Amino acid sequence: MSHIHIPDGILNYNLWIGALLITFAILFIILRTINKDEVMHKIPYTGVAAAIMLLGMSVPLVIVPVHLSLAVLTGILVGPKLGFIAVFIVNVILALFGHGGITLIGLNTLIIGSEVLIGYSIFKLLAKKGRYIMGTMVATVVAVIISMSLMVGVVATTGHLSEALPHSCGHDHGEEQILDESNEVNVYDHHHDFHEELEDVHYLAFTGWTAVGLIFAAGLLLESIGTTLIVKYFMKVRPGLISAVETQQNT
Amino acid sequence: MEPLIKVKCLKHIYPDKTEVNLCGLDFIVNPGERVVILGPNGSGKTTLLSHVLGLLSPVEGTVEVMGLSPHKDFNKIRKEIGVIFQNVDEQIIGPRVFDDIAFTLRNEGMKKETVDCRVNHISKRLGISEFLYKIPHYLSGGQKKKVALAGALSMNPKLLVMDEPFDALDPKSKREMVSTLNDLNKKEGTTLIITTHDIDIVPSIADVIYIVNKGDIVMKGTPEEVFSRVDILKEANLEPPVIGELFNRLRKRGYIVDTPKNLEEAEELLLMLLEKQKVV
Amino acid sequence: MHLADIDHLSVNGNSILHRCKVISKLILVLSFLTSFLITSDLTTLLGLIIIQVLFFVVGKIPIKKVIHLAIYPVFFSLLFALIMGRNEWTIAFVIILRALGAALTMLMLITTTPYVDLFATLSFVMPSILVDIFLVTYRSFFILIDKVERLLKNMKLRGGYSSLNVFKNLKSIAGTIGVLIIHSFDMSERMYKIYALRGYNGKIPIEASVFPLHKVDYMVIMMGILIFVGTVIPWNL
Repeated sequence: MSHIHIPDGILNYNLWIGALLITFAILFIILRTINKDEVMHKIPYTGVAAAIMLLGMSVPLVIVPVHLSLAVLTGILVGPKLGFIAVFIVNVILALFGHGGITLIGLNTLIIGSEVLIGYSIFKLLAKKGRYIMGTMVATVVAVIISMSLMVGVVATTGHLSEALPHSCGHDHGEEQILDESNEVNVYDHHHDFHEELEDVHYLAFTGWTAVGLIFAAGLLLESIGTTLIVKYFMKVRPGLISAVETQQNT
Repeated sequence: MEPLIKVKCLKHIYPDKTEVNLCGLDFIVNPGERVVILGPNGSGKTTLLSHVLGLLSPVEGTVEVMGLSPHKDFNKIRKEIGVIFQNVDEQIIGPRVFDDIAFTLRNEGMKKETVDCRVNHISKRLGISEFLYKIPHYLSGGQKKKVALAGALSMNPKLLVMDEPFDALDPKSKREMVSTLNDLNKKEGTTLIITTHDIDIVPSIADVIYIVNKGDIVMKGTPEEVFSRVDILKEANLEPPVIGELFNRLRKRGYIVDTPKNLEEAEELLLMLLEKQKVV
Repeated sequence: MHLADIDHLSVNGNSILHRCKVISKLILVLSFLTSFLITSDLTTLLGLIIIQVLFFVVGKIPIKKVIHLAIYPVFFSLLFALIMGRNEWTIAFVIILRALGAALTMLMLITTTPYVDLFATLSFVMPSILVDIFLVTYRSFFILIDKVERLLKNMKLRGGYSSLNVFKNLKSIAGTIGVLIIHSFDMSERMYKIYALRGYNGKIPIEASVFPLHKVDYMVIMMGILIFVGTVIPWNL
């Protein structure tokens, strides 16, 4: 569910260009190491997985104000490598349509991609012991917590960054936002009112981080329960789809 | 004449352990024939087609297409076969109509001029030239079917396999489709294998009908033969075409009439009967 | 995200921008984006936005549609602007205009360029597997969106939605997504089979034409260079 939502033009160049380069490097490695024949078979599979993620982001589910990002589920279903590619493709398409921010393609791919990889690995470990449902729950919780921390961590430690706007990936735009400090935009005077802003940060830290915590907790809960319910449903009607993960060769 | 397709007592096990046994009569298709497979849902029609296309490999039994095993010799066979699946949306790959029709041609490494020429020829023939540069998802169901057919015909296949080609077509498009297919069969000698639920259309498009029920091929015959066996049809949850049923009933009442193939023939026959009555 | 709307604009549109080659538009886009990202001068940003709007006019893209599509990024930039620019309104405007500009740039590209052409041109530099997945994603999206709408309607009709019980909703939604995924993966299996039958060998062949460039292409490229130079020069002086 972690998914940064920062408008273009705010992020530090080093951060977004760096993330983009790392993303390209990972894509390059994935494309070099995957088995071409097997991948040919899975291209429609991956495309469909990406389309489902895109749908999740474009069909407003009015029923519940947030929706599921399904990153861990994607990992479980198509494997970490193709899952990463699917995440990249979703982010590029979102950016193309002015929805995601062109400067965020790399960062968001890395963050959601980490969710795919971590979720897949934990699930695989537990699924080997036959613990599919528990495996899904644990995999989603851990993956989402790590990707959220990555998001907040990466963004916050870069210093110049304003906010790691936690966005439950959906249409809950009215939710409270957190604040930090920033003067990245103010290129003329980097240290402008630095102390003043620092005080603001202290003041805002409490409410800000509480809000973040709440939003994250809600997102975490929804994503993990949602993913688990979906996997449970698969186990009932099509167990082959999930148990295939055990035989998957990390594609 | 050596048959184009021979399928004998086929057994297939799906990954979810569902077993399909296609035994009973052999499935034989001769070159230039128009073959229709009828049967209720889940009777094994699609499994049969998948084996003929080489998409599945049989656990038991034999499948021969043009003397080869379609699964093993997939790459040789597929060039000779055109296919239309039930949901054409899923088979249209090219991002534009032109790209889709050209898909196989380009994959075979044909020259641009040849590709252009063939695509233009086929699209003209099927009447889809005007939307060659459209994106497929904005076409109507009938238009998409035509695009899929154009793609299937691009390699001039000897055999055209179609799963429910009349599904979701309005009456006019259906008639057009039937006449296109018959034209193709007549002029190019293309062998047709069609599955359909649309029984009223069958007499006008079939030389031979196979009835598949519960995994068995239970009957083979000409439309007249098949549609007169109401017992077998009922067992397979099928009903004879309205026209066929009407003439059956007339026969039961003592009128000596053949079963007509289409509406026009039926009209002629009925007029003849009525004329006789007029004289009497 | 209005994928279908945008698709319509790009496919059915008929303007100089629609006719010009993707490569020249990409150069224009690159120059616009760089200009927006490196400028902090309010007047320059405003100027760039005005030029951008003119491009939409030239592209015959209804401004109302553009505004509609740009609301999402503007909304987010507004939040940031309120927070970050609380001491200075210029910062707030810079944030909003930059975000708006970047979004408009992408929208200008995608509303005047059918995705097929875009990916066909990108296929020169992008590995074919990626291009293919892009194309399949796009097609699948349009096939699936109908399914989703039907499933959602079905879910509501069958009482799978209660406005009070969040957990019940989540359960129905999970079931709906489950059904959708199973349908989709069956679909992808069928797609693979037919791709194989139709001779798919790891690359969907599409045609991209880059050359020859026409007068309009040179004009667009020149505009791009001018915009970039115009943004950079006064900034350095």
